[in-house]
Amino acid sequence: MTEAIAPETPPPGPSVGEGARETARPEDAGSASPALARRMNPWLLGILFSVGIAAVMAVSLSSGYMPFTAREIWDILYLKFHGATLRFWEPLAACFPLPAAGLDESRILVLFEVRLPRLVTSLVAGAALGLSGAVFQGILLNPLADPYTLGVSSGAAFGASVVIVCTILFPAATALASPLAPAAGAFAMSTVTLFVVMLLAADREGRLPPPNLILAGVIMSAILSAAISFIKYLAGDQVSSIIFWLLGSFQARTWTEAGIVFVFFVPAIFLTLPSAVDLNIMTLGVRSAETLGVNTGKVRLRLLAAASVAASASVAVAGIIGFVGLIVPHLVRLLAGPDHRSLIPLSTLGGALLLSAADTVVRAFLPGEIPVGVLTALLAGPAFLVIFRRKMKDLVHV
Amino acid sequence: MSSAEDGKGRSGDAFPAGVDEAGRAGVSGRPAARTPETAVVASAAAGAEAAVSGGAEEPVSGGAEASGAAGADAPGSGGADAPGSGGAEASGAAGADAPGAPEGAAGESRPRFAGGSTFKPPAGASGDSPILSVRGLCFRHANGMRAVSDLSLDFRPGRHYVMAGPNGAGKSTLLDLLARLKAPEKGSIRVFGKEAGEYPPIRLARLLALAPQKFQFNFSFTVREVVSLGRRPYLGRWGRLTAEDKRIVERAIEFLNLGHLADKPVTALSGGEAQRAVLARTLAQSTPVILLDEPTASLDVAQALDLMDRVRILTRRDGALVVTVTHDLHLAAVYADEMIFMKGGRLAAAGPLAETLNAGLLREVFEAEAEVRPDDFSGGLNISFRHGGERERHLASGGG
Repeated sequence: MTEAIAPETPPPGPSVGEGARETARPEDAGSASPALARRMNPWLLGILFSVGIAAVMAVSLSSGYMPFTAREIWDILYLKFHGATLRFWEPLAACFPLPAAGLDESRILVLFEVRLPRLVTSLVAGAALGLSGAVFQGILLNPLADPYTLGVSSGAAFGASVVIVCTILFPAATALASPLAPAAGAFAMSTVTLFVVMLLAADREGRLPPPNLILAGVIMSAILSAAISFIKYLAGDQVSSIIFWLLGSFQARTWTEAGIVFVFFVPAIFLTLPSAVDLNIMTLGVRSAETLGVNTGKVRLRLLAAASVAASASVAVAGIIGFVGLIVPHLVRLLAGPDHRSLIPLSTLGGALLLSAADTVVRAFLPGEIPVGVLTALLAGPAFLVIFRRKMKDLVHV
Repeated sequence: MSSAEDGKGRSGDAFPAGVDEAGRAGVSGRPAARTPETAVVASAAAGAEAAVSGGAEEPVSGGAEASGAAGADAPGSGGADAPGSGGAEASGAAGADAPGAPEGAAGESRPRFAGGSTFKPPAGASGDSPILSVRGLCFRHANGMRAVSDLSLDFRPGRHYVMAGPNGAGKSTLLDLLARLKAPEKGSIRVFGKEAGEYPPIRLARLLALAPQKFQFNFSFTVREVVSLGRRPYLGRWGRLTAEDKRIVERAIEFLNLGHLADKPVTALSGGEAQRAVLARTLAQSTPVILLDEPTASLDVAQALDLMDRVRILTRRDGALVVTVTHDLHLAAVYADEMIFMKGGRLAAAGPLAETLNAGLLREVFEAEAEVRPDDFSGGLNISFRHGGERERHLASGGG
């Protein structure tokens, strides 16, 4: 998939490699063998994703330990939203009979304070991961990049581990005992990591060449992983609380977590979408982009910052959930083409769909509750392998 | 046919008589490849001629500074301050109508370049005056290595400038400087009379396009999508193409004979096809100045010749200024209007092909023994390198 056609530089005549490449596939030249780029209409894919999300929401809210009927869900949502802020519900609600009187308080609590915030958090976190995966792959010119390539996940894991180990080692530090403290630590450290990686990667002119970024990210991740191991060692018997956080889960997420990730996700989408055309151009290389009037340095910095902050927020509230940010943009690109104008919004929808569906499966349909990060890795990993294998076969002669 | 006649008129000084006949003979020798574009771009030809009206033919004034004299004040380099007056130094040339009505001509002529979009030259550019001029240009790499020293050159529209020199001579750096990919350390680069650095990048991208030598396709955009990206300097934030943009894109695709590949992913193209896709992208930018960085490096002989024929159409018929960096002196000897030889970051020689390319120069610049003869078929020059044979025996026997 990463495929660079870069004519070799110096030899003036036809070099051996050049000649070999030309002659290796003469039939490719004019015949039909390089397949036409078959693509789905992006709007159709968008509609499919949206329908999928609606279906997941319906299934997710209704099923689980305490099942709800559609009518009940409607009634509870109506009860919660009507009259307060969302007045636009009113005309819609008028079409339906008024909510049945006497809804059970505990059932309202389960649906509105437990199930719904968890669903919303998983949707928005998935959206953030899909968006940031698409942006990262575009900027780093590498379809194998993901939101964690720049060390965002390692930074977050380190931050959360530090907070958790502090609560273990110093029980007196009650301020850290808040359930949100690890999230705050994670967000702070992932942002710091991002800046350090950018500083390390910057060249003399202050540009951020993709290979530098990837290397700096790998180096920082390695250092932080070692630090996390040390912290785990410090935690002793209570190491499981760190491990569980690292696995990634939406268990017991509240409206607060949903709000946090939403607040960072919304600016990210507004910052990235208007640069989609420039991102398309930047995939042709810096020289082409600059001569087309794109300020690559500025665009890259803005996109990296926006995508990383969205990913950080998602990691902070949900832990490290792998593969969503990698496989979703990949699939979308395969289905609807690499144009970032459609790739970014579609990856956002796809990420939301995949993660909310996975979380629903984990919560409502699997015995016990395995962390959703494990499920996404177990399902998406092999799926990715199949795609990868198929593309590898195509690439043999390219 | 008026365009061809015009081309003949303009090239009269630069080439031995008959060059254009030969050039067109070469064209007609490959009718199949030719016919579609000629038809497609024919309409674009008319307007271009207005801009390149004057018959004044003048060697690259930088030739005067080749000896290394400070460029800025050297005689005949008045172009730095008043590009419109460039015709003055063309002693003896028929520059009658160039200074005649510069403002009016500039204002009304809207030459249509390769892609066919209308381009309005900024005030001050007219006739055969240089549209790109370099004065006292210096550049040092970040590691302190001097890459370009005190370079002064003028580039006029409707001509093909070929830049050659040994590796490390500073050719590619100069091209980067012209494309504003690098900022000069000292000196000035004026595009249509205005300092290149003063243009907003988008504006400059409408005047000047570069086909890079190294390019990569990481994602499976189709050829048409890649070519469409060339329209970016004219588009809004969301990059929506107008009917006019689409027409220009199609024309660029046809011009490089990529029609059958337009809907295929660029990742599936061969090296030569990919190179042509990049060139089509550059042409879709519809700029009066086109910079080509080793465009034939990954092409076979037929592809390279075909490409150079097309470049000739761009300069002769559409009035574009093309600057090519190449290692292929044989191609240069046939297709260049003007040669720029560089060595060690300095100008070794510059001027019309016939006046610059000779055996002595090749020895001086490339340390290569060669014989240079007029080439009757192409009207250009024919280089026969005198290596191998006796020289090989000389080297084998321990000679230096």
